[in-house]
Amino acid sequence: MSDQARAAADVWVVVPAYNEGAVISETLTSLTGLPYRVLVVDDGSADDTWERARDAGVTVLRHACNLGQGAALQTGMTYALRQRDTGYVVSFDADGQHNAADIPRMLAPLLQGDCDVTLASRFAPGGVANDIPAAKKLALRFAVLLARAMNGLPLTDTHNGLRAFTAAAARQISLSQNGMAHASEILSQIASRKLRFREVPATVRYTAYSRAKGQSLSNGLNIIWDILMARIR
Amino acid sequence: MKLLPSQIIIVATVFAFLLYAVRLRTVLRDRLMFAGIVAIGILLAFRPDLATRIANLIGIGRGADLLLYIFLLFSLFQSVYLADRLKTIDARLTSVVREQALESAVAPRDGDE
Repeated sequence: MSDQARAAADVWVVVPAYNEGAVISETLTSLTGLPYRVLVVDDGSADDTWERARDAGVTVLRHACNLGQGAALQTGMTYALRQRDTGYVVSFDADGQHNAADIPRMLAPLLQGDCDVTLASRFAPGGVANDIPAAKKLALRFAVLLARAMNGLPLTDTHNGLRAFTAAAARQISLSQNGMAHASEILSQIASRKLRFREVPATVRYTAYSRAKGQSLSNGLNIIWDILMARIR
Repeated sequence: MKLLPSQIIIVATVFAFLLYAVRLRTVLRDRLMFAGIVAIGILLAFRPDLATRIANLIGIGRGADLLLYIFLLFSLFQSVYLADRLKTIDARLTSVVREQALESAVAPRDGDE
């Protein structure tokens, strides 16, 4: 086994999923071809997400009720870190917007020991955001500026679900924001724990499905509210 | 613009309350606050003239308006208290659901991988 292949076997790909029955089989098929262990956290879906994930031959966890994407991600990271020999944890959205082929590029800087965390960016040079709706793009640009103001992190994409952590870095992340504000929470913890991070250009694919399910602009305002309230406390 | 004493007192009270809500709360202080507000309510029920006199003193005018302000403060206190309780319950629910999910993980069936 090469070093690369051995390291790959230590990788857990965590896929938080809520009512993704329509697309999760396809997403998981793209992942199970890769030499990683895959874990779906079904966040209390009302549809057949759990059954489809189980049929895909991956490890499946299920929240008894819906808690939010941040909570599902934290549950998945906790599970991965409790398993034997976990070296790296990758987060990957269930809705099919990420490209599984980007994962090796996300892991490469970690395997070389260059940094502790890699964050996918659709806006970095080389990144791709196909058919991104204009309002969505504007909201994401604003989120980038907000993150810069609050954490001082020089990022180009702050709300991308594709991330990779070394196990040591993942252990330092502890999400209390159950909802969508966890994306900002991860960044502020990367900043406060002084984790070494790097952005990696990646592809985000916008489909009719992900557009309908994705974050709306008004939800962006809710996220800002969550972040501000967390700051005050 | 000349400020009425009541305007300064009301704004200062709201800010003091916000400071209390985010920094100074303890269970005992919450209870004392609650008891204090109830005591004021009972006192004013028995001495309606007192509300009017205090109101006049600080420039509110009517005793009924003073009561309104106290009621608003009480509502503010209650909503902060309830929001905090909900947050605690939410955190507990999260940890229970998470532990249960971790305990009942389903590994891939043999031969599937």
